[in-house]
Amino acid sequence: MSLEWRLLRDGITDAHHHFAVEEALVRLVDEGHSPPTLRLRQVRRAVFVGVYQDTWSEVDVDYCRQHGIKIVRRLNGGGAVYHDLGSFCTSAFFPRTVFPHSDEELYRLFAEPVIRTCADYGVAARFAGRNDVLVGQRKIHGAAQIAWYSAFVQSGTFLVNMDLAAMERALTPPALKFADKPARSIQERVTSLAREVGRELDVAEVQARLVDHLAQLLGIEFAPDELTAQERALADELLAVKYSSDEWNLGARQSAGVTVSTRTPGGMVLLSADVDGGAIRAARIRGDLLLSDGTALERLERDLAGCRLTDAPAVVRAAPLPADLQEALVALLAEVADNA
Amino acid sequence: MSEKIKLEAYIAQPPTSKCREVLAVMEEIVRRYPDQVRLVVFARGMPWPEEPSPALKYAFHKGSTVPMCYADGRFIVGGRPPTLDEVERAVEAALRTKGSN
Repeated sequence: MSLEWRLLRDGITDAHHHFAVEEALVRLVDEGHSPPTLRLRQVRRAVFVGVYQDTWSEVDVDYCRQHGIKIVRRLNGGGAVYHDLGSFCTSAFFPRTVFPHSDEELYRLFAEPVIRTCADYGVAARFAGRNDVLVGQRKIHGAAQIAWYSAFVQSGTFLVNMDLAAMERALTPPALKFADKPARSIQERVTSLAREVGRELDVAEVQARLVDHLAQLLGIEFAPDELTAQERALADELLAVKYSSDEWNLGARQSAGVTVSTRTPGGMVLLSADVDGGAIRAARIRGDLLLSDGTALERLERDLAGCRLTDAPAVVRAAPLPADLQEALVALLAEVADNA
Repeated sequence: MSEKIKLEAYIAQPPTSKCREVLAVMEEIVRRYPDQVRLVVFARGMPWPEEPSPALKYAFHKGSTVPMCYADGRFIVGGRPPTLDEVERAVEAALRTKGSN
């Protein structure tokens, strides 16, 4: 198999504009207006939030604003990540029919060039889990996918000279996310190629090695080129209506004053409550929960609004929820009462 | 009147021309089944207008496909606009299931 793809280094380092280009490319590849493309991309200091994450609970928004760290909601899923010019990302845009592999196989296929690039620097990396590349137990490369009608995007983030302390400070992951994991801090869970090698590395050189390995392993010839006028115009439009807006990047700020969380057998539960004079003004319940009655939590939130904290446990126990979730929420309400 | 069958469409924001095809098909089904079907549209990355069905919610967390279409919490089609026939068959099956309950 020998394919010709565009190799794109557009140099757009503003996080909002950067993601507007990502979306423009996937839309235009789907419509047959853009060729298969490998985009090498870097951004100035920014936090990328997963498409369905609550920005306010994953990111220290005030800290980021004070330190000029942009926040952008990206198009794909996954967790919040900090980026600066010390790391780089790749996005491969192609019609899904180009590769016969399953989505899981594509993760492995695109991880192999990363593993070989690490090996070039004497670092032993391995594929792990669904989509990670690890050095020891630490993540050095993460990946994500989007299937967009006929188009597909395989993206990855390669940590090269990453400022791990800045990453630690900008992100505020709920502590419970690490409760069942051996490593608790971000710096314990991720690493960079520079950290493993013990010296600062030239990002452009790492990129060039990765592209060579991709070309060799995937049988692709990369031809450097630029964004087309159509791609630029669509990116500008998406930047204006979507990626520059707080509505997209931050979502609605939680009005609730207290947010507490716990783990249940069904997943993590977060309860946010705005309490005034011993009564709950507003409540919001979120988490990794999959309930058979999908509206039960919404109804409970409504029932809790206006309820006195002392009466709230009885309201929770009357809700059509699993007993362990009820008890978890009662415990969280007690925690809210302690903090009110 | 028993509860309506919920059709769910998951599309891009802002919608593409193919997303508009998805909505046209789903809306046509709502027109064909007055009082029996309602449509809820979820836009990628935007707040949910209401709680999605458990299957769609699971799909949000697991994968990243645009578009996805569900009827009564059951998957109809993903990655392309559905045909009228596909959605109609799914709605008929859901109505039969509701009728037999």
